[in-house]
Amino acid sequence: MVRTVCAALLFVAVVTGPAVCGEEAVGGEKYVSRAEYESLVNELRAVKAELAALKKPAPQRPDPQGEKFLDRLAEVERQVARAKMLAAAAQQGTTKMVLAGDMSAGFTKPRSGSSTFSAGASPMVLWQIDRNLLAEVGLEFNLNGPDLNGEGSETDTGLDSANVSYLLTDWLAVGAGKFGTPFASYHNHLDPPWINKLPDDPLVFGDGGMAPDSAVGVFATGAFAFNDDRQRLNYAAWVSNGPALVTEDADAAGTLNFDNWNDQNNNKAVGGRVGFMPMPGLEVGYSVLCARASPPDFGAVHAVLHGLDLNYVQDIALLKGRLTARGAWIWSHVGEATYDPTGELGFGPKRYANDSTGGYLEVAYRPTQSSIEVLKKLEFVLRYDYLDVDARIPGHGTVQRWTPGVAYWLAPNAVLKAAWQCQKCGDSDIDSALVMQIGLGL
Amino acid sequence: MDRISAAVTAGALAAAGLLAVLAAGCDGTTGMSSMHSGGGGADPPKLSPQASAGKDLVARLGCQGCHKIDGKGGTVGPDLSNEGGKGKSDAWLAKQIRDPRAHDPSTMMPAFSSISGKQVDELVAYLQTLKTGASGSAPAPRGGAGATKVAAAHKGPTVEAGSRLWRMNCGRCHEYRNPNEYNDAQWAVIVHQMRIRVPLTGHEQRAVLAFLTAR
Repeated sequence: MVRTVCAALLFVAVVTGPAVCGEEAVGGEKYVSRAEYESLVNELRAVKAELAALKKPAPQRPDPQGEKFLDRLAEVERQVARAKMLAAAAQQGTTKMVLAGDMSAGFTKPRSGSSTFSAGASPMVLWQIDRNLLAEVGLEFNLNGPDLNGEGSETDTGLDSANVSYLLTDWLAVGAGKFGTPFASYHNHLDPPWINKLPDDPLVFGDGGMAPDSAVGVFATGAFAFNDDRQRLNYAAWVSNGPALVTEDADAAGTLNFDNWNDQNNNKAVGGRVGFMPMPGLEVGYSVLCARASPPDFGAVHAVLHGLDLNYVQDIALLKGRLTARGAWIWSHVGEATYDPTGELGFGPKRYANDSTGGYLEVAYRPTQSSIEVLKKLEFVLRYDYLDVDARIPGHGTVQRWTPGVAYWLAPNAVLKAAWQCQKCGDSDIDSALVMQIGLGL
Repeated sequence: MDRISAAVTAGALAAAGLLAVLAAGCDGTTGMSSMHSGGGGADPPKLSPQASAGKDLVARLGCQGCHKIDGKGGTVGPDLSNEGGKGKSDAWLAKQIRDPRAHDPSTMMPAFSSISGKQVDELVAYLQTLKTGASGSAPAPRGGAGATKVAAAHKGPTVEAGSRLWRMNCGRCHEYRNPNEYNDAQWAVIVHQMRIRVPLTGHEQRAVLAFLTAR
């Protein structure tokens, strides 16, 4: 409204002013006085000033709520900036490292003999250098107790694994170094104390057993899934320095020493495993290992190992729990050789081949669907072990062992286990022992 | 060598026999194989749009990797078949989805804090329909849209596929580790190592990692 009035005044002033003057000038009948002229000019100036004032932006009135909002916004922005700074500081680099592995503490009380505590730890560092390249370094610490004279107590240390692997395709990875062998599956998958449901290893995979636990060499591994991922085929193959034939120990001549990290004879061992999962929860595997195991000055002695393994896990509603069945069977053949041919070692000459077999079957039941919380954490286990080392090797023969036990799962990676070993060697009496262990996975 | 050959043959026959017995004795309606069993039975009553969306979400998020619904799914977490019949409030269920540790500090269930409020409401609406005897709680991955989602899951590393593969592969050797135990970067390293050790395919590695890091 004000603008309209001002504009009208301005229009009148501008249009009528010159016209009046002109008329007076042209007609000469009427003149504008100086005072009138000055008055018009002043009016024009006043209108201009008013217009200029109208063009200026109106002063903003203070809005208390808006100011509070702006304050809060500024505070949020400060907090976001700080959070960003903290997040950036905590962000891992492109190199990613994880501490894994396991530890255990145990107790053994043989029926005849003294009881003993034991402990071990196997920390492992996993280092993902990039998304395809992974390094694995595992150490092993075990306590050896003193003998009856109080001597010989020491801590065993060892390199459990040291390998680097590279993912070539979705179905193939290759690696090199010291790695756990997939032979018959046990050592590579099931022996860590937080996975093994019993406090001890099966005979065939324990000390003096028949299967390699690790090797130094190169490997390739991978898997194929088909039938909508319901069935899988996995494989592993490796070339390694191989086992060493024991030739000079009267009680072990003809057996294989798998804790051998140097090539004996410039002839590498070749091994492989194929695993097939015909349905979810069940895997069967076949393994093979071929090696020339003899020392260079001993003549060629070849060793061939075959292994079958089984792993079955199923939740069964009828049993209101989970049933696990695991097992493996290994056949080992070491070619014929003459040990201590000159008799200077005191047990020869003896000539024989070593044909040995061994295996285990373990069945476990955990009432995972029980309504009683304590019961859900218990797992009842029974294992049968069989080891038949060729009787032509002095001090060897058939060993059978039954091990009933119970595991209490404190957490998915912590388990308390107790078992009773009943073992029979050949025709000797049954020996037994109580074994207990707590196993933790890092 | 004859002895070895005979032993190999005997062992192979024994293993084949055992395999046949196990396959025959396997309860097709339970356990790990159940996720793939075919559909059947009476058509379930129609769910509300919100509950139906929640049912799809249950399949997409892989809830049945741990929870059983109508006899289908894992046993790591509690059976949800009667979750709607337990009288739990919507707010309680929403809190359980968002922050399960608020109810049980030692729970293994990952906190689904990144899903939207609308999705939480959909999940709650579906869970409230789950009542023993009510056929509205038919398992998601059976037939129809559920099967389509399962099939779609195989095209990429989805949480649902990862959940199923995690249950198929990881639980075969060891107890299920809590997804909250490690952060995303640590899981990336661990699953990488397991791919070498198990071994897994690249697709399985990515899917299992997607599941373990779905928080």
